[in-house]
Amino acid sequence: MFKNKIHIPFKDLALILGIALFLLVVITGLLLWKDYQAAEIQFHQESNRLYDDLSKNLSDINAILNGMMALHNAVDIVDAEQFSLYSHEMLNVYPNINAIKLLTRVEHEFRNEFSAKMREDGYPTFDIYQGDRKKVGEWKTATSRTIYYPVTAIEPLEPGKIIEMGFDQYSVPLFRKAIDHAIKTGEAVSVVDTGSVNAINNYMVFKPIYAGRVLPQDESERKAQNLYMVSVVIRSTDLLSNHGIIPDLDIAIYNNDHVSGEHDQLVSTVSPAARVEGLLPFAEFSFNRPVIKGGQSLLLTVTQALGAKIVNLRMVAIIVVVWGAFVSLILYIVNTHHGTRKERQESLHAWQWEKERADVTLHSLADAVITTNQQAVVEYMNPVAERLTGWKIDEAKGRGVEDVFRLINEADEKNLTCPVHECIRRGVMKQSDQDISLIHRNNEYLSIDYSIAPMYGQNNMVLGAVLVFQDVGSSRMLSKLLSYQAAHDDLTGLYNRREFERRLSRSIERVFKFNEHYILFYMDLDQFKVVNDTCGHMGGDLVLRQIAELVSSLIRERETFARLGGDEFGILLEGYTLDEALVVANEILEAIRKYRFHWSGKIFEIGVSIGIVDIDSGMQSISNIMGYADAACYMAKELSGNNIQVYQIDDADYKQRKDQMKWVQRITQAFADSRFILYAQQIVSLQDDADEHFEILMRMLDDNGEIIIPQEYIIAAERYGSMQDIDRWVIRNAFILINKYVSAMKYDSSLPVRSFAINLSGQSLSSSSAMEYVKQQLQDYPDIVRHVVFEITETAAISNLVSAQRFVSEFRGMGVKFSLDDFGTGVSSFNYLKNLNVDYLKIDGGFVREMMVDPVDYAMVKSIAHIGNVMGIKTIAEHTESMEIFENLREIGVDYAQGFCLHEPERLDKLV
Amino acid sequence: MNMLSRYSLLLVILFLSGSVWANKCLYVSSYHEGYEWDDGILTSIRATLGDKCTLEVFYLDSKRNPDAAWSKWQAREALKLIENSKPNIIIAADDNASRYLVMPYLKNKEIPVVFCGINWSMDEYGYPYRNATGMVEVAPVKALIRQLKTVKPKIRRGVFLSSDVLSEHKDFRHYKRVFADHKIELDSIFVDNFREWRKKYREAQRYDFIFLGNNAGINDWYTSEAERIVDQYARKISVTTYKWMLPYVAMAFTKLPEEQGNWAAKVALSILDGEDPALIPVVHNRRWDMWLNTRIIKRLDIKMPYLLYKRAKHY
Repeated sequence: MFKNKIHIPFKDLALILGIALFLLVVITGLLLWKDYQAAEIQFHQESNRLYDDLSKNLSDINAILNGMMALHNAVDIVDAEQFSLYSHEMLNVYPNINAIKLLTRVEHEFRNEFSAKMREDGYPTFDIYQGDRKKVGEWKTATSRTIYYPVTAIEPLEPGKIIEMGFDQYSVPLFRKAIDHAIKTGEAVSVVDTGSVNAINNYMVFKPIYAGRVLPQDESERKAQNLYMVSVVIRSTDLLSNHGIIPDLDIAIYNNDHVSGEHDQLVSTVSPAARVEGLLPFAEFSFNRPVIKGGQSLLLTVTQALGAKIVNLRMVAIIVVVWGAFVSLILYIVNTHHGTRKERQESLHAWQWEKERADVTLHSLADAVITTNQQAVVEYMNPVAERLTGWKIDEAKGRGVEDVFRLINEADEKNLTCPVHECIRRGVMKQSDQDISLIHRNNEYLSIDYSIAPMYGQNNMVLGAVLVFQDVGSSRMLSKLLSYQAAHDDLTGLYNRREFERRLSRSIERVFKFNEHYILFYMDLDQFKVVNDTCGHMGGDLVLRQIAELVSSLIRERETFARLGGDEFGILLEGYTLDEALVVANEILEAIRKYRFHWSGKIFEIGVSIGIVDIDSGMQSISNIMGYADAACYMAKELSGNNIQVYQIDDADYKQRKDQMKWVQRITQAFADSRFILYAQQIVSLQDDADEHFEILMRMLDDNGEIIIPQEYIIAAERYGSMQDIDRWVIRNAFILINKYVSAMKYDSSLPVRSFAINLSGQSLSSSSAMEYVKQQLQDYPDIVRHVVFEITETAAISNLVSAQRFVSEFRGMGVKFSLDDFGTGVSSFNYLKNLNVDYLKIDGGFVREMMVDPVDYAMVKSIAHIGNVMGIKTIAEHTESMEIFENLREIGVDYAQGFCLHEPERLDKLV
Repeated sequence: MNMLSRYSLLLVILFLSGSVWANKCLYVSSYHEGYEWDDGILTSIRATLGDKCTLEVFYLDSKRNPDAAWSKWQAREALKLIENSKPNIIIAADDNASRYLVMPYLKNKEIPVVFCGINWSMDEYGYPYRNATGMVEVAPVKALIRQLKTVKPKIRRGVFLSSDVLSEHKDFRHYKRVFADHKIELDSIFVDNFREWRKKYREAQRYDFIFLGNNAGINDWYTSEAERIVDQYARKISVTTYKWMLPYVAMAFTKLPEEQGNWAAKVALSILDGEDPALIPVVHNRRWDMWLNTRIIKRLDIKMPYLLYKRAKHY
């Protein structure tokens, strides 16, 4: 920075400027001459390089064309596949080439046959076209001519290029002339394409390929033996791949038209503006040279007008730099004495502006800011800090920050020491690392997060601290709420299954690592369904809440008590022996047994089945432990309910339950592997029914392809809720096959009318989504409605009576029939029959099988047949295993019989 | 305009030029995630589209659920997705996506469709539509015959052994014609369960060669048993066009799902750039992989031509 003034007299200043100007003129002249010579050498070098480029590109094209000839000679007939492979490789080697096309010669008499073959060979929309595809109405099927040359293969295969597929290049006069000339001479012929399909100013070369391995000798033979044309296309702008080093060269390339002998302009970069700018009109460089390769002949012309562009860069640079520096120096000196005063003023303004900006920024912040000095005394507070602390700046200024910024721990509500002191003392940043609250001046608590940073002065001394804090009350509340909801059951307020399993997992780890002791209770309420069905969900929900409260009062607060879903609960006891846990379990059992639920004047009793697992270090998986507990609970329920069962590893019943669980996995896998098959067994008429009836049966194949009978896996599917999936699969696939049969009936009147019975489980009967599914399927196959019978077992119907009635009524209204299966097994079968509007009764096979030896069974079958007759319901006897039974059934008045002696089940797809 | 306004304007422009106007593409697969062929198509589509189009995927899952009702149901779900998501273009892979979604619901509608993986012929779906184009899938059967003849020049009669599904019947019709062009007679055996396949595979040894079709459709297919059967009973050279049938054959000429995906995505981008789908012709695939199963070749004691042996991939 100049601090003193420098004085130079004006006349000395003029002399200096004059000498400088003279020197500049001399130097400029010398440089101009040197530049002229350099430009001429560079022009010729550049033109020769352009010539080499062009020459190389034409050689590349020739190489591709000759390669294609070689390919043709090697394989006799070049098919599209070989052409594609070859061209693909060529385009990798010669990236300048835009496209390689195969034009197949097609005589008019073979046109239709040829197009059909192309369509068959994978171009289903192929036809021979002419015109401009981009213009509406101009793209059309080629008009009849004696010969066509459609594009039958093109590389690279790109959406923008493939549109030329089928385009008859012979329909374009320019190409026709070139093709004819090429065929006549056997040489490559080049043209300039200025506007055919997808091509604007492209350089195209055609080369003929003839039958045989030797070029036909005379013109007429060449015409007769021509098979294809290969066409190579290169964008005119790509002909000079390295163009651009000298920006103002005027380059033109002309194609020597073989037919007309004229030169068609292919490339022109002539810039009229560049010529006008020329300062030295006598100086123009030029270069003209033909490039001839095979049948290709181009003329390259290059010119360069000399002008400002050659000299101006250096000259202007020198003038600007020297004169600029000189004048700047003088002006700087003249202005120096104004400088220092102005700088001081500007500096003051800048400081004031910065301060103002800092104030505005601090006032505008959404965060609270307090600054203190080295002794942690408040110096500044922004308005947000005033609001959150309840202290005004005027009151707080000069006070210790601990008076204004008082904190407590939210977890235990204990006061915390003010962290600002520690920050200043240690010179480190501090941030809130727990949930803390600020105590407002009016003693209200406010959840905040803070961060404190020390302020350093010269010599790295701590001058004070900046404290920034925010009100995070709403976000902390929300986060707590979300975390509570994620771990708790909405209805009862207990932990949910996810949290229970998380805690169980932690317990397993502690058992394993520290040999701690945990006991798991798996509890399932008995008779809860009765409450739910009778009192509705509101009643059911109330029971669950009351039971949750009741059990909570019987266990320690530290135990994990959760609702696992529906009416199932889990308790994880910590530090109990099995005997102690049994005491707790009995207390729970007793309390629930005594519990009474009152609803609309009615009183309900509830029971509970408890499965207990003593978790040991060998049990490492949550799913295993939950599985054991579930199985134990199920055992308890099977032992009349209101019972306790402790899981014991060697128990055969548990093994059976575990086996059932494995079946569930096998069923799932069988679905994934499509290993289910439908069979059908005929239900034979004992009276005079001409229609045929079948029951559809499902079979599963094992990994070896052997059939597994359903009894083995249906129990597991029912127990573990997979029956709906099985039912859906059966319905979907059975409907397809029934529809096939019904469709065949329309065309073949000799086919008998058939009905097909499909078994439905209790789970599907009580599911509204299953109902929707069946409805949707029947809408897809409306013709089969009158051929479908749904079989529901008596026990499933009774246990879901309301749902069963709704289901039957919905689909009977549509025309579907219903059959009540295993009839007679329930205690009040006849009583329930009045409530279910069914079409068939299937007499339980247990009665039918023994009816010839057991008079009670005989009487039972006879009674059911009689009742069916009275009610207008057809009866079917299952398990008709001998002709003797069959004849007796007829005498009794049973309508249908079903059994292995009458028809062995066969595959449904074969049957239809 | 002050500085703040300029930055705000810049931000708005950046925002508008980014996510808001990004194109949305919906890929509807006939099959399911994890099916090798389909995964190959999708990977290639993703790679080609890059960030030029946000891709959503929907699986009809018709291979594992072969009944028509299921596919119709799924197609309606796909349609709901289309109505809600409003993609700019739909890429429909393999036959069932065209059969159950494109033909009944999207034919000649505004929304452009690019199909791929349709076996040999698209006639049954009524293509071409005003709003659709794509790539059909043909097996490299000519190349297969060419190489088969270099290994066994005297073959005259072969058999096509496959699952009894529509697409395999469709393929066989084309194979038979192409083999006939090369003076080779091709018979067919279609089976619908593994037991039958096992039996027919042994019977097929009386032919000059065995051409194995797809096993998808043989629901109880038993992989290790199939390999054992081949090891024990194979006497004649066997070929296939499916990569997953490679463990059971000597030579395979396999189609590349990537080619289908790459083309579909390129065409989709071209249409999004303003190209009219009706003007882009339907094309067929042209790339394949050549494989030799050295285990079976060794077992059959086949002398492979040196060039073929060097050029093929080895399994």
